[in-house]
Amino acid sequence: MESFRKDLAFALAVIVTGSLVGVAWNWRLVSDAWEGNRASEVSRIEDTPAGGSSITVQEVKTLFDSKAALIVDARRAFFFDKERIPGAVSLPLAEYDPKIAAFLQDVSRDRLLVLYCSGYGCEDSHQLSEKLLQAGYKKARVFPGGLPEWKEAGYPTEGTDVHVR
Amino acid sequence: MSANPGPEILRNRAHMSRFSISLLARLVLGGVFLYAGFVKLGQPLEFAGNIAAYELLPYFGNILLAATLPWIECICGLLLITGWKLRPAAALATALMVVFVVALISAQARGITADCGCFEVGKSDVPPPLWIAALRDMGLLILSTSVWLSSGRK
Repeated sequence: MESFRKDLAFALAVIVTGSLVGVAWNWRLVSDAWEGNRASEVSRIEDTPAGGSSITVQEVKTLFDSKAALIVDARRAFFFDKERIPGAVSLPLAEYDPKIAAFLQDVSRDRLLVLYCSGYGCEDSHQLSEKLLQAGYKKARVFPGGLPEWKEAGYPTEGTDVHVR
Repeated sequence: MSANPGPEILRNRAHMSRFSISLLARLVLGGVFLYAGFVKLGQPLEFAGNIAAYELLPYFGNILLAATLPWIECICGLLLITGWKLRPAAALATALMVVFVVALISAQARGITADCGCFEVGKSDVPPPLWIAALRDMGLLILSTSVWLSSGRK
């Protein structure tokens, strides 16, 4: 019994140590969440302070159907050509500098923009929204789920890889 | 000086192979834990998204777990690999595996489609069925239980 208690104490010590290190390592994230500074809806978890707010896949679909927003694809043209959200415009993060001038001419700064790339692991749409905000587009929203979540929801895509059944 | 050295050699051999099997089991288990924790260390937001999909915890709970679990996994993995405090480390690993298996089965039973979040974070294009992850984790559970039970004689 004594050794069981010692084992239990050590296991708890590991949990406590790991937790302390984890909380310290992620202090800003944890303290923000503790203060309830983020929306309770978990799909907004990808909200990055500097990059404009996130929206859900359902909201993107609503905007898509009503054509109320311009959908912007932050991925490289190679991927954009193969498959994209229908009607999306290509503005690759990697080609921002050469392409922003034309974008500024074609797209009014009042336009509601929805930015996406290849999903939760991809930072490009967040960084692109930062740049666009600085360029004067005050209504840039990031769709963090990206093309994978759009497809998972069963919504249509277009591109050279897409076969119409 | 024994007249018949046969049985002694056989006994020694049996000891050695038992020893190397348990060493192997410990290294594999520790490696899995260390790897699983390591890949999640730098991506707490994405991992929190994975945890949230299981719909088991409130918002803050998902964040807190995403921040802490990878570190606990790494420490546990290191303990298993080095063999220091093996018995409690293996007990902890077993307890963690029980929690993971229960979470996976519960999610599958409730019809939740979620990415496991076990060895990678964020969303994959085609998430594998959770019951496959549950089976894999049950295998790891068996492994960790045997490492735990076989370390008891120390």
